[in-house]
Amino acid sequence: MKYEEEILKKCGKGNPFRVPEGYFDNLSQRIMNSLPEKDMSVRPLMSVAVARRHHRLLLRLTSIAAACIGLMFVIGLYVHRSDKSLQIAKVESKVKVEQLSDQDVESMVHSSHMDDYTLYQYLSDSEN
Amino acid sequence: MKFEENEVTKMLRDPELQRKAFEMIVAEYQDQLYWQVRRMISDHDDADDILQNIFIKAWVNIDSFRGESRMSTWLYRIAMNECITFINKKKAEQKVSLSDPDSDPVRHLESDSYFDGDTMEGLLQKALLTLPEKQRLVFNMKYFKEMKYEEMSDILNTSVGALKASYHIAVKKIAVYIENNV
Repeated sequence: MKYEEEILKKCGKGNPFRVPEGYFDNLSQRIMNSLPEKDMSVRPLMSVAVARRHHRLLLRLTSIAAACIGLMFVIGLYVHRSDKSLQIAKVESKVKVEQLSDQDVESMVHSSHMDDYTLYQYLSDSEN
Repeated sequence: MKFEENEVTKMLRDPELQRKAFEMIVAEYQDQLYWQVRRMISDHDDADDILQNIFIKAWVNIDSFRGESRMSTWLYRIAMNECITFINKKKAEQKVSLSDPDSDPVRHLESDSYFDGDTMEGLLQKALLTLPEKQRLVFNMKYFKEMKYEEMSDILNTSVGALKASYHIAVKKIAVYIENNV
């Protein structure tokens, strides 16, 4: 490389800078003294194996948390749908419970996702 | 005592030995980092401050060093970031005080009692000050430190191609400056 050779030839790689006398003598000590104290609870560096174990544990916890959120969502959805079904049941109960066929009741039970006793209670209450 | 990077990295993992290991790192790298910073910053006091900041940052973040890159690469990365931060800060201050003769880096360098400006090495240093800081960094690493482009790429997070181009441009500018100022 033409320009690089030119610079090398003319200027070399010498150092035009100087430092105050004895600067490097106590530099290490001065740097070490300027370091902030580390928190005594400072965690030692984790080994790769420990880090992997922590990572796996974190993944598991995240999966459990995600499953819980999913479950809560499904329960919420069920409750919401049950409310709607109950409203329908109440409206229909005005028609008269006696008019409902077994098939209708079966279909209501199925769609309301309620147990038999709860459904029975609602149907009974609507008559009063 | 010879500096064995693998041994020192192991010592860093032990809280009891961590400070001792760091002391060994300081002893090993303080000179080369100082000179690298000094060539970038020129002023001794500023270089001294920056050097301390580099080691403080390294110490505070030592737990994040896992030996994936070489210790020198990691330290150089911190050093170069500190230099660029310092230069940018200085530039912002100089915008405020344009009338200050010290704001001209070449004049400031010539007035430094720890700088020998009458030599060709001094002229090269003045030429370096006319370069943008990234080009100056690249030139210093390649020309004085004879660092490989791949290592420079790790430190500066820049592609090898861009570094090569940067070096060639810097070399040409410096050659022209020297030609015009001999």
